[in-house]
Amino acid sequence: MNIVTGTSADLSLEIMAGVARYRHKVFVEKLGWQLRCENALEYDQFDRDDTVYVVAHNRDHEVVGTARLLPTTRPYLLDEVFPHLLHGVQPPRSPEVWELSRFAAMDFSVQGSSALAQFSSPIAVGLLQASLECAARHGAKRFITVSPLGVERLLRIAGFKAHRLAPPTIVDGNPVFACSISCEAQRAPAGVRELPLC
Amino acid sequence: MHLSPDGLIRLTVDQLLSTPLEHLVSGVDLDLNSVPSACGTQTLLSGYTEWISSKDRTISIGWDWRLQPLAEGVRWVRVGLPRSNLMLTQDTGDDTTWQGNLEILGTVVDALAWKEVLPQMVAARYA
Repeated sequence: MNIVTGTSADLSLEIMAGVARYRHKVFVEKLGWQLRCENALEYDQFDRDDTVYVVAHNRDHEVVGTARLLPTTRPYLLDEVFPHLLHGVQPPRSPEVWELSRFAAMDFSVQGSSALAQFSSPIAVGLLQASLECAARHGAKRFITVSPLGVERLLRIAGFKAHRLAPPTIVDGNPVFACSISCEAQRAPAGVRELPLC
Repeated sequence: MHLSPDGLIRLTVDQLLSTPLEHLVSGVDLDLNSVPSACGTQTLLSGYTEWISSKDRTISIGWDWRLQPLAEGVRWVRVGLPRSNLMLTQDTGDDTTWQGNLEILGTVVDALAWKEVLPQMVAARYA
């Protein structure tokens, strides 16, 4: 697995188009999220000039994982779209806190895998570690992210230092929560099955 | 008791013990429990449960559980350490260690009457 990081200006047009196509395949086609898309490309108002991307490719140069990093000093998903998940707590706004979103680690070259099974290690863990290191290089001390509650359990199992920011909220019958993940050096993960982050 | 910039609520054990906790939501691990058991074998059930403070609804503790089969009947047991947005502080005002914090929260959880509440909550959700 090869991982590249950077803003849209740092990455080639080919890579950026691959990211948008991959996100459409994962979040719209596989997970069924209702996102406004054109031409089977998924991007939104948080894909800006200052957005940092972490992109994993396999040996065939196919995208097998993506993550989107946003500084909380500018508009971000939790603050703009999901502030209710914080239950009245003020959303962070600090150069030391970055948001992780559109995290996916699904290798479409692996046949017969379910949507959940494809959020699997070692891609997911490697991508999250690369994302944490990338954010740390930009001054981050921790990530915040919006996730299904099960991700908190998986982060614990994988050895990441993470905690909830508020109680989970039930969305469409499933608990969703705002999560904080430390960018401190993490111990070697023991294995994680899936890490779907919004 | 106060919310810190790292998103953790800091409080003492005494403050936590004087905070009434109530059930929020519980779930069964459907992916792990989806394989039907053969006739005559034990059915294993596991899941998670979430509790919040009825006094301060930002206080949140969750943990995993499983049904442990006994010779007669079953027992609900906590699995692993809780997950929470709480950091317990010592008399000095310093944080408890990360691991120590989770272990103390585990003992607090064990003192709750969750085993009496959970069966009906799980049954109601999956009825």
